[in-house]
Amino acid sequence: MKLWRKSALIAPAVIIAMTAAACGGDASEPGTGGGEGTQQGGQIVYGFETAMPENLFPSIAAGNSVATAYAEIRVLLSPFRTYPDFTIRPDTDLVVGEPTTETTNGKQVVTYKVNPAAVWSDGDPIDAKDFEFTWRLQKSSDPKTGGCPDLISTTGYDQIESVEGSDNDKTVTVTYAQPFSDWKSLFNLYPQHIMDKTDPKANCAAVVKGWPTAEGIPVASGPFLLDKAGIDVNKEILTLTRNEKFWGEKPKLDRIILQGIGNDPATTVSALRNNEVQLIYPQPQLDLVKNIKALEPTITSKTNFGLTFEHLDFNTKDEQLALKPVRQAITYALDRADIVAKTVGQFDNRAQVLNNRYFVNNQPEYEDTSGGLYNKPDVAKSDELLTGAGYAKGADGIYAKDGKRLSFELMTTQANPLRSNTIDVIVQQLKPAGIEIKKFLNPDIFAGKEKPRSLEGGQFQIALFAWVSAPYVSGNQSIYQSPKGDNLGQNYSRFGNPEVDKLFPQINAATDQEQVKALGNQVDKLLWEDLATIPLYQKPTFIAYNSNYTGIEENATNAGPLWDATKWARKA
Amino acid sequence: MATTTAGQVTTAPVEREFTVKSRSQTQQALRRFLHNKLAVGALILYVAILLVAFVGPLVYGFTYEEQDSAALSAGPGTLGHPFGTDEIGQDLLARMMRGIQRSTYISVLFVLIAGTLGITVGALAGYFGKWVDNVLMRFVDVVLTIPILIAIIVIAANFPGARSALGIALFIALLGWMDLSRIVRSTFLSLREREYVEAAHALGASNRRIILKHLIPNSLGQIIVWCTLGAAAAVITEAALSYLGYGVSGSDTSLGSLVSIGAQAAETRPWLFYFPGMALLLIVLSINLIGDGIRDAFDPSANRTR
Amino acid sequence: MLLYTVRRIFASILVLLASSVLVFVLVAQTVDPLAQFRTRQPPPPEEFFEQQRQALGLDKPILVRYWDWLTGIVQGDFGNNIAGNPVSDTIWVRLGVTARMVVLAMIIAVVLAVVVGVVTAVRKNKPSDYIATIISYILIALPVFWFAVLLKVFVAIKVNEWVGQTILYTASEESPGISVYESGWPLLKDRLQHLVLPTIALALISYAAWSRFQRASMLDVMSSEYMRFARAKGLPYRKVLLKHGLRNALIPTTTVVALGLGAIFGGAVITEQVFNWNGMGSYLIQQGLGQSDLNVVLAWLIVSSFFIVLFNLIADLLYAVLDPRIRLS
Repeated sequence: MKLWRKSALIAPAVIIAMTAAACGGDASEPGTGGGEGTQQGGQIVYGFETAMPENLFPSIAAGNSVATAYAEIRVLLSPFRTYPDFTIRPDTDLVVGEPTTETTNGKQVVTYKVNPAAVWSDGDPIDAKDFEFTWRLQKSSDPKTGGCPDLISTTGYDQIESVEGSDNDKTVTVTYAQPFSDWKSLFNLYPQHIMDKTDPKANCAAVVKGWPTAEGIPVASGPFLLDKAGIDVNKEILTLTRNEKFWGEKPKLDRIILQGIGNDPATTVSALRNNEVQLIYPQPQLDLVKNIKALEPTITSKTNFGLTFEHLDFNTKDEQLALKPVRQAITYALDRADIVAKTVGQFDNRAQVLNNRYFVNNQPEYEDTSGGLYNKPDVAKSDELLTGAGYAKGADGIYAKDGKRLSFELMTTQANPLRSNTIDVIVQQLKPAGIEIKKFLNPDIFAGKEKPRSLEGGQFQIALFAWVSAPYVSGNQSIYQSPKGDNLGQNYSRFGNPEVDKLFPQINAATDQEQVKALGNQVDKLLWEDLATIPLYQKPTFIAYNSNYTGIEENATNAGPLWDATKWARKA
Repeated sequence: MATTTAGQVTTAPVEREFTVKSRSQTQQALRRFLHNKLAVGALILYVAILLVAFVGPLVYGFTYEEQDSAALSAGPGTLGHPFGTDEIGQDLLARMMRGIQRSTYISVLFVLIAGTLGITVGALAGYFGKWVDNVLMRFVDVVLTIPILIAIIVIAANFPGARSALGIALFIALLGWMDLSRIVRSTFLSLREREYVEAAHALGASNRRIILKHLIPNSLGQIIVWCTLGAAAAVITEAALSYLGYGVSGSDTSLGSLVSIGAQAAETRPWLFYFPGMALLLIVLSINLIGDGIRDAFDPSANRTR
Repeated sequence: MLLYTVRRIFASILVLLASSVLVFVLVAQTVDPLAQFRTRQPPPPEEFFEQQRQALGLDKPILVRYWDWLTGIVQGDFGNNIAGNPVSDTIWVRLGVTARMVVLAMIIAVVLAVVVGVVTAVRKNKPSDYIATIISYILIALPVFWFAVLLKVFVAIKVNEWVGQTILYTASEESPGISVYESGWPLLKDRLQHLVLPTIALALISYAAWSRFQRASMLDVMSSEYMRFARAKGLPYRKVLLKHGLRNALIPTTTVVALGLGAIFGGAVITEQVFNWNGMGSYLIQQGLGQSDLNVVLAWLIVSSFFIVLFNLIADLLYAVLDPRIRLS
């Protein structure tokens, strides 16, 4: 999650995939096999809504954006891929067979067998040297020990003891000092033969510089190149072209053009309708979805539910929100089903209330850990709790104690109609319960401490924003762990529970998915009792593309829409 | 102001001699205004809109915050909502009445603040002339080299917490008084040479008295015209700020934010697009027509030109 | 005239200089280029910020910072953006994109305003005058983004459907990626197709006010003594009107157009947002303000100030050419 922090907060979520079966309504002959009815060559324009990345090197802040993550998913390979059904499977282009993991004497040993045919796009073989370099580059952020402070995350790499090659460097053995549950998330490989300057300082300087967007990525390990020729920063264009040296399945399209088109829904719709772009992957909004649905069958579209979920954070440093009965009363008064119905429910009737912070509704690990307490609004219960805590309703119908009214500012991001509406609905729900809510669209919500009203700054009361619930759970620690002095991590509710803290080492060391599931749900159950945060709903995702294309498959994880772009093709 | 309309009111000081006479001139102006059918029509329309916006909520069945869960995104005229509802069941007519109230509040505040600033600066520059005039007017020249809308955005972007209706009015006013100061200055420049001002001087009247009793009343026509056009421009500027994401932030609404939200819904839920847009259009249009009517009324020589 | 010109140029430079102070004070205190680092998790240590401040020169007194910035600009160096790339690499490209729309829109608006202004003045109180008047008033009252949606829905999409192919584009200044694989006429044609709608939107909004102005000054001129005199001499009406009347009626319009440049910049920012152009508007809103990129915002404002001052200067000089009395005062 750390790596994804920026995107976790701001980014659009990603979609669950259903294979876009090549439907045969066209004039073309229905094919007998899967690959028929498509053409070789051509191009597609993907209009993306996020800002153009400042840098293409994903391990530094400037390169840690949704746009880079999407664009590079098949440019730089990792040993594992995240599939649309949330499973994590080996990338058979890069590795042969399933990499093995063993824990002996408290140490975890992972062995990868690199595909003998695997080469970088300049012909240099991909091997253990690249694994070793990738680790060495990211193992520390402390300059004193040869680390690099500009790295956005060292999680996992910092636990590795050694990376060794054998069998002509095509077998890689990675040893972790202590087990790391999300080991599959590591080793997005960087080219050792191009980048390595052996001296840690020189390597760090290269990390700081990264890959400025205009210069492209020097070399690719995947089926696509993202090189200088296809990039125009001013026009917000990134072009993916075929890597002719790729040993696996080669892309059918000649080029995939990523064009920044901004996030104005009206512009997005007209660009797709005018065939100015052929694929979009925007934040779904009511009018956008309706507009696109009206374009069928020319346009194929699909809503789905990704890993991003919206939630409320109570600032427990606030005098009144520090009281559990107050937080509980708010939760009892909320009608989350009504919130869903008035927001995401309007463009997909499968939308439902989310009752878990660790897993989303459509993950196999999901359990309703709330105990069913807050499924229906219960104003009587809320009144009871507040009266019990010494509050009494004032003449204005708002509860107060010692002259302090239960009036809270609920802040969220700017220019997000879904969130703005969510707050409007909450305002009305809490009014009869004697609690006043004021909406504040704060452009600085994610700013640092220098802006006092940001999440970091802490001068807020309640906040509404999203987290990405990754298939990898280790990132959740920084959100729910007790703050250590001034170091909050991402625990903006500023609430800690020692019982929860105790479970993090266990969950991080769990290498078995059943164990992860049990522990994750155990943590979440405790979080429900504290009520420092309330999950609201899983965010829908929306993909739409011109029906002249086939093979486009969504992916609900942070892999993004391009996760299997090799298969994209124009219909014959 | 952000539109060029307000910038037109620059020249043609009126031939007048004594303030005593100006009272009857005001009456004449009123009579002339009442003969201008277009301006009177616009005035009636504007007053009607304001009446609906301010009195309507008292008798209307929905409040602007109320959510009708049974009517989400209902079309106009259905389920008891004459202008329809938005996606969370808020009644559009109720929200428009609220939005017009807030936008009116913003424009009135703007006129008060910017008007005071503009008259003060213009009066000082025009009356005292010389270095006072030079300093003030060069300052105005310099500020006007920054596109006003952009300057407002830069300020609004950096004070997100201050973007209440009052704050927005302040931001616009802070940068919107310059053209008025130029107008006031130029009328003062020509008026202060008149005999009656010299006579007042000779009789020992203080500068303050001369400005307040003689000069300002004589430039009243121009000031009123600027006020109306400025009010219209403030409404449009607020809408532009909303569209760019720097409008009123908080639970409240404004006509500008309704229009900018509606811009997304033009094809799917057209009522959200057309009703607020038409309301904005009618308000700005009627204020502009009233302003032009007043100008013609105060300046009969300009009558033939407008 | 030479002396007058030199004096005006000198005055303009002073105004621009003062304007640069104002811009710097307005922006340098409010936009924080280090904001990007503050969203990092874990937050970088305070020493890191110290070091960045030193590297960017933010620790110096504001006057020194202003001087560094100013001397850089005089040499065409606008500083680096937050990603470390020179702003000057980008801003001229962006300006070029915006200039396509603004220049064309201004030409169209001026020509239209003069023609309509003169015609309606001549045909005062005829039906055509009323219709043009009503249209101008409506255009003046329209928010440009609302008007742009109307153009998209009722013009672009209808025209495209009617023709059966996309001839009017609604997003971006050119087809995505086209400059990667096309050049010459196809590229130019594509850009023109993208140019139509935004230009119409911007031109019509500006035209409305100017045509009112042109009409008013034309009427003023028509009722003046020398026009009556010229007609009394027996010169043909049309000739009098165009030769003497129009020339004099154009003088005030020149000023209004030149002074309207600031408003056009504002309008262009919104128009670019609506039509998703990658010009100066998005450079300011998305990059500059959106990412708290100090040097981008500064560069934007000083470039626009430069053009506004330049246009004021041109207006002054034109005024002097058209009306020789000005020079004497």
